[in-house]
Amino acid sequence: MSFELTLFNSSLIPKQTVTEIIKLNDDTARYGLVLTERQAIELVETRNQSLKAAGRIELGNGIIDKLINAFCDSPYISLPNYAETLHELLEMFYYFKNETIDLISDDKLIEFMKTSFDGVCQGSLDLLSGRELDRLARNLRNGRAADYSEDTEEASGEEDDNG
Amino acid sequence: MDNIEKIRLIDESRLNSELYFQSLIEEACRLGMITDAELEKIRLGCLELLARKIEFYTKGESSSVRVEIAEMIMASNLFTIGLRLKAYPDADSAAEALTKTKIAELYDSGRQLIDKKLKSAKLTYVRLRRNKLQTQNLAYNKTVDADVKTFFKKYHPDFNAHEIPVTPDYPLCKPIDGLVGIEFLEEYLKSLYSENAFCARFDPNNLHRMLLDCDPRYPDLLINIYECVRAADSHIEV
Repeated sequence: MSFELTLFNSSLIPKQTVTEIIKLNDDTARYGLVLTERQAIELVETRNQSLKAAGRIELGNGIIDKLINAFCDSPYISLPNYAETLHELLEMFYYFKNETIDLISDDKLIEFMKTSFDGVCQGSLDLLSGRELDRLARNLRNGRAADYSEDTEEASGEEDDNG
Repeated sequence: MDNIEKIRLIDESRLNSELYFQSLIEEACRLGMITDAELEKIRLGCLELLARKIEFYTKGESSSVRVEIAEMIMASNLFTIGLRLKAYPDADSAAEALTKTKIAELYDSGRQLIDKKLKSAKLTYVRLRRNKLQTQNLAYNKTVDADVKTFFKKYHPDFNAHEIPVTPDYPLCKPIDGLVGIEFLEEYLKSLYSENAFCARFDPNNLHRMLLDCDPRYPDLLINIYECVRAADSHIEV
């Protein structure tokens, strides 16, 4: 195998990443949210699979810690659905990094996901993915503002017609 | 005793001048000059460098990039390190440097070498333009007036150091093989400058006649002016 290929074929789960995820329990425990070592390893595995599915590469700690920090205070997340929600958010994150053709930064995307999840989606991951993030991606790809809504435009158009 | 030469382990003819770093590693490993532990250290050094460059590429706004972007940046990094390694007196010393010097340091001095080569290529280009031939050959004019300029404009030493963003149309007498990126352009311009200097000795009208003799359709053809002039020079008085 050539040297270049060995560089990209590393699918190791760095122990440091798992330790850092576990360390976040210190902060999230106050919301009643903690992850076991097994769950942390599974999250890193999901990250690796999601990256592979999205055709992306990530070096360093990645965004697991950022997602945990952003979502730990959500009223729609509790211990029974904590790990499962994080898995879905991770998958969504990398999928929509591609769908938005990298036009949005990690931090802004996570902020959008959190605001929508706690707000209009009221904790529904389906609505977050199928409606809000989908619309965000379409808007960015078409050079429109992130919060542009065709529904709002149509409604205001109708008002103008009636007025 | 004066003729004693140092025994070299690496056969330089087995190295690839385009993929120098990769071929050097493979050859050094094959000959047992790099241990598994050293190879792992080099590999980690390359990944750390890639992480640093990805952060630079995304301006710190994204921790991940598409695979093709990562591959492009990695190829660029390896080319730049290879450039530095080529500067060692021989391949054995270059292989030794790989085990003793940090990858980031090799990259940084390779990057400085690219800047030096870019500067030197730009200087050669200025001299070439000053000495440009008056000819109707379209490929020559396009290369000298536009292609080289576009290369400088589009060449990105931080992320695409290994690429030739524009291949000049004008064919040299001796084509440049086995070189990419700034190494290609530097050699191309050096050769073109030398060919040009020879042809510039001739009056433009004479030059035109010699090229017509070579081929009446010469303005539209991808011909080498120097070759035609050399051939005609043996028959025509300057």
